[in-house]
Amino acid sequence: MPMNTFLHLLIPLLRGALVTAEITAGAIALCAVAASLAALARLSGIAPVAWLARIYIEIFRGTSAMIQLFWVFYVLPFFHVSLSPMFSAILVMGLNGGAYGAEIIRGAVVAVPRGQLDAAVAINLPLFSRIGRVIIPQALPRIVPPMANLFIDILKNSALAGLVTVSDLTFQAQVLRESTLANGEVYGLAMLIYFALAMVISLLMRLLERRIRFPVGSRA
Amino acid sequence: MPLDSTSEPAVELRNVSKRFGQLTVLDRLSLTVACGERLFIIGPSGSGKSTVLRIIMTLERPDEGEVWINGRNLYPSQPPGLRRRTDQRHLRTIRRDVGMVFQQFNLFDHMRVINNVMEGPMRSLGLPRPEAERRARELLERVGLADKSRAWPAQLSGGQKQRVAIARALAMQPKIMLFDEITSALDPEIAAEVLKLVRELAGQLSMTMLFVTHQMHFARTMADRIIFFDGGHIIEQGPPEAVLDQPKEKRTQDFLASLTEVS
Amino acid sequence: MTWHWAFAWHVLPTLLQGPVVTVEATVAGMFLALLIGLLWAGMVLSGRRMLVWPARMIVEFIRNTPLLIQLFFLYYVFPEFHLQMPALLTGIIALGVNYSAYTAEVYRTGFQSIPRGQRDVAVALSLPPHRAFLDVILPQAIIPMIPAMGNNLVAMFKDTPLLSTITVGEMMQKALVIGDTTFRYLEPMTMVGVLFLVVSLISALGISRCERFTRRRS
Repeated sequence: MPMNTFLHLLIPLLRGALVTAEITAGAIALCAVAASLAALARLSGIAPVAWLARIYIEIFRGTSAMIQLFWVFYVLPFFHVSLSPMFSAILVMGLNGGAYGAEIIRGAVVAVPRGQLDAAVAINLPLFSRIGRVIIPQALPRIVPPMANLFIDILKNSALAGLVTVSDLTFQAQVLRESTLANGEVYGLAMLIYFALAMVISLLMRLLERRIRFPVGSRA
Repeated sequence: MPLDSTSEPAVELRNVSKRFGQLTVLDRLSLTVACGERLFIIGPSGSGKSTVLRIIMTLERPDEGEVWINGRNLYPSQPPGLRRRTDQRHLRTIRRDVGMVFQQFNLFDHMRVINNVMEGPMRSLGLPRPEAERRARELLERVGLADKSRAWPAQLSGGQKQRVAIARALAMQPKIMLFDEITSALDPEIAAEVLKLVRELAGQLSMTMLFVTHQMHFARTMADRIIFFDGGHIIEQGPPEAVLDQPKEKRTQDFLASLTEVS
Repeated sequence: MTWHWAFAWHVLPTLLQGPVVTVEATVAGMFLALLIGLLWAGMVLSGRRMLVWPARMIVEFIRNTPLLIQLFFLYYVFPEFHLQMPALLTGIIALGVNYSAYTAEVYRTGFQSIPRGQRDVAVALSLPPHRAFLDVILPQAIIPMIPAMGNNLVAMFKDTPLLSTITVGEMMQKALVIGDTTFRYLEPMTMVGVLFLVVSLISALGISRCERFTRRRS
């Protein structure tokens, strides 16, 4: 393929990739918050709060992101809630990811041995220290790797945003296809860009993994 | 060890009951520990010995009865049925005087040894970092692990971990120390070293100490009083010579006999 | 905006035409995914560098790119090679290829988790290789895989709405058409959501029952 055609395809795609990156970043942030809150709610032991979290998790895990997105985009306006397509995408991807993330976090926290909490009480640590200085640091190594996969799933789901008129990478690919009819090249290139973005996320998460690691022997 | 029986008791359990599901682990137990006393609790597994220590350490809350530590009631207003409300702040001020060493060591795996020992003084006692570090180093020196201060718990042997755990507990300068089968997870030679350390520390410090243990020779030399526990009740208690050499109750005799069979 | 039950009931039959297509796509797609996944797993487990590397790279690529783009790629590229495929078939192929990356992983971990001892036993009993595989290894490998494959099946089921973007008339498509023609999106979209939710919950229960069963057997 001649170079200028290649660039002709690449540049609009990269513009779309920027939007995709924005959506993904926003959704990841929302996902982290939602997942933490929902996990906290389920672990709190306060029945109504835990119940609400359970409902949130089941609904968002039981339906697909596309349905959730379309619901927000097509149905909410009739309830006088009009969100911009971009915001709808970030909201849905974030809440969807949050539902899966909540279970990851909850599982990791529950896996921290009871004895660690006992020791924290034995040296009279206040509640926030028990959570922040003992439980969370020991739960993180079991949280970060699955979250890395979850964040990449969010990136992949962001492609749906193009279906509700957001000018993301997928949308730009559609536009280019219609104008250039170079179907294979356009979508192939788009896939490569998504792959590159996924690798960036992977790399960042692996760096994070290294920072929170600590030596573990066999538990006596 | 001179006992101070004139001042108020260090620990007092009044009619304490504790159930786990259908199982009644403690049944209207009453127990008084004098200030500075070295008390040993022995008995078969599942008899509720550890639960007594855990209740004193506020790791478990009794279903009935009262727990008094240094003259203060752990759970003052206990209307029946209203379980949730424990005053955390009140609990923490009392808990400050109690420390515990566990059978499974329970060192914080994500912190180096020195930080394990510093954590309590810094976060609970509010000591500034340099002072906490100084105290930690002194204690590690005392338990013979000064050279391991930068090590991670995973890199230590069982005996070393337990010694760090002891240093960590002592860093809080508690008035009451609880030892829950601290050598049960250790090989015999290592266990002996740890017990030797505890004996030295007991000689230097005058705090109240409660032990749950199977180590009878250790109990014999260290104890002011030994309690034989079974089925959530005190079966027999008294000075070591009385309980170990001339047990009055049949259950005590059977238990002591079974120990010598095993060894 | 209020919910009109009469309308909801009215559109239910139309909506229920969708699930037939949804189920077709899911079943066929899963079948394909199981086959192709076995191919990748075989290549990786063979240990031969010539096979391991390409398989790993293909699986990585599939897993890190969106299903939607893969779907569009196949849909618009097939005609370029003079392959006129019905949309449903293209969708099934896309689902099958995409999920083969995940089934391959299940196969791989499943086979590798069989303790060495089992293979040694087969040797000790002097079983011929194919017998060893069929009677000893395979049954033990398959049972723990079932819950994981079940999860993949449910995930694929939830991805079928994507096929509506290439004009496949599954549930989502039907709901959108109803919405576009009557301007009432609330009932059809919610009902589709509820239908998905119900199926997901039922299958989640089924899978956890499966998991308990497999754990008891091991």
